[in-house]
Amino acid sequence: MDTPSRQACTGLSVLLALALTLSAAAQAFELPESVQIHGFLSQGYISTSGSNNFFGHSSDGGSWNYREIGVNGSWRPTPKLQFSMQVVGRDAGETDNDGVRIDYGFADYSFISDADRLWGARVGRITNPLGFYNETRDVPFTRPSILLPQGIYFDRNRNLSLSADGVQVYGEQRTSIGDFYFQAGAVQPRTEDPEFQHGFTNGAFPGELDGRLSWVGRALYERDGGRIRLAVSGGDFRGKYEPKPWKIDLQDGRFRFVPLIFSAQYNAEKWSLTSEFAPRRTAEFRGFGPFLPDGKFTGQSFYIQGTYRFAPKWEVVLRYDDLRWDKNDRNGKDWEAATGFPAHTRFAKDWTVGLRWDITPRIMLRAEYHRVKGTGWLAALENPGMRPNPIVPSTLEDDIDEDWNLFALLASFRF
Amino acid sequence: MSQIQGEKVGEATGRPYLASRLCLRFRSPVIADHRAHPRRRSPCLQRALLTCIVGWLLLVPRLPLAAELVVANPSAPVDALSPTALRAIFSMRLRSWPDGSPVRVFVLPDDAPDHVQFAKQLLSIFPHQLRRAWDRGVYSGTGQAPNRVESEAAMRAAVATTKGAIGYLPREMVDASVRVIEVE
Repeated sequence: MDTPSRQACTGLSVLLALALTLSAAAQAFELPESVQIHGFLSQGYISTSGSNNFFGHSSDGGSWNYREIGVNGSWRPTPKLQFSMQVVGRDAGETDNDGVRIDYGFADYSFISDADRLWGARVGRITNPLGFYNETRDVPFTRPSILLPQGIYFDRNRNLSLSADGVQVYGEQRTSIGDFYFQAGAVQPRTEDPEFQHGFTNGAFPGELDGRLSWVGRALYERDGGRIRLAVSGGDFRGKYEPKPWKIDLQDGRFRFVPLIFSAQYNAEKWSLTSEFAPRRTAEFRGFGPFLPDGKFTGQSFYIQGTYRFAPKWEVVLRYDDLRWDKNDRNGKDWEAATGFPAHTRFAKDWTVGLRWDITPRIMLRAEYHRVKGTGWLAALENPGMRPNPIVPSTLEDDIDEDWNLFALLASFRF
Repeated sequence: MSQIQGEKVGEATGRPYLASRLCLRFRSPVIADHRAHPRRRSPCLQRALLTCIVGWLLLVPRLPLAAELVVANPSAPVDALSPTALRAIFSMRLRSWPDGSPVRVFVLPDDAPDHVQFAKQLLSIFPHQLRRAWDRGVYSGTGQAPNRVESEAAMRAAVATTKGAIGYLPREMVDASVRVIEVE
């Protein structure tokens, strides 16, 4: 076991011990009613075909390197004021083995609260209101499947997507035609994802990535308490790269991501239909020097998903998820011609079928199967054949398959 | 007294989609009448009846009408709540009573028949939607979870003894230890 994995394991064990102690303490000392402690714990298994890897060496007998443990606490000294924090330990193959981190920690004050409205502000590290699932993306019970649709919820830059440091204002208006929710934040993004850093530095250039002033927001409409849900969310995430002195002259660089997501959901008693469409997801790089030419890609992705609760405690999900990194080069042919690297790294078409069994309200088991064409959401850290590396030439021998499949199992517990 | 409140509660469920279900239910004896005289049916009527029957089978939950009443601690500062306020409270989005004091929400387990009835009839939403709203609040730090009790008796005891408490009980469990909150 390599060192980062061991660190992650230690971190996870510490968290688990902390969680159990806290929940025992909560019962023993009878915390005030205004304090709540909750958490979750999950262990996954992922097996992939060919030599494609996802969350560890999944192509070689499967990977168990997919674990999530989280503990959160909230304290509401008065109905208008709440403090919340969640600490998460996560291991997801090479893309996440950084152990324990604070996913959110903020103060929330509501200025106006009555039967018809709620307006307030949050300060601290706050989850990004992007799409339907981002804010609770690590909690398996709140996800529609083991892996979120990767076309929109990339796991390879999960920290960047999940939360950011700053200020958010929020509002809620409950009217006779439905409820309207607004959130808008001015934040500094998190840049600690290994795969995200690797994307800029190719694993070879020393330097630091930092977030700059960025924006994120969502408007959501819910009718009949969520029977119909419609949302538009988006952000403008900016950051910079500062190189450390090295044997070749590296330059400062800037990056910018501008996602825009439209979301729609219909909830009946036994079934739900969900679709999200990201018509524009712009990624822009400037000034990184000759090894990462200035570039601007506008990608596009969507998924459509049906879930059916066919018996109490049982649910099945069927989904089609489609990702294009560059909507002007949908099949990656231009990319292949320009870089010599496989066209299929620029898109992914994923059919997913999954089963969920809630053994008890606290324990859940899941299984799912993905049939995928394209490798657009695999991580170059785990699949070296994906991306050119000017320093350490990659051998195209560990080539990856365009047509592949993924099987996953997950056990999850919460309190 | 409880009769009158029962009617009010019935009215509170009169959101468009539930109202149409209830109408269908009331019409069901008429459908049975027509069955008794098959020769009178025209093809058009037949089709309409078939649609009604299929619709009834698909849509109408087999539940008695408004068997649940909203109850609060006797110290609650109000006698009545609007359906909007009630749903906001049980979704854990409205945290205080009109006088600013904290609300303590009590619920039965998600699959308890009383919980299912309460959610569908008085809140006009499905239990899985409530669960999603609570989980989103708890795991994104923007809310808190309701207090769970395991039985109707525990519900009555908790609501009766906790300041600011609100919950629900089947009509026959309601006694003087809790205050019935009208929904209007």
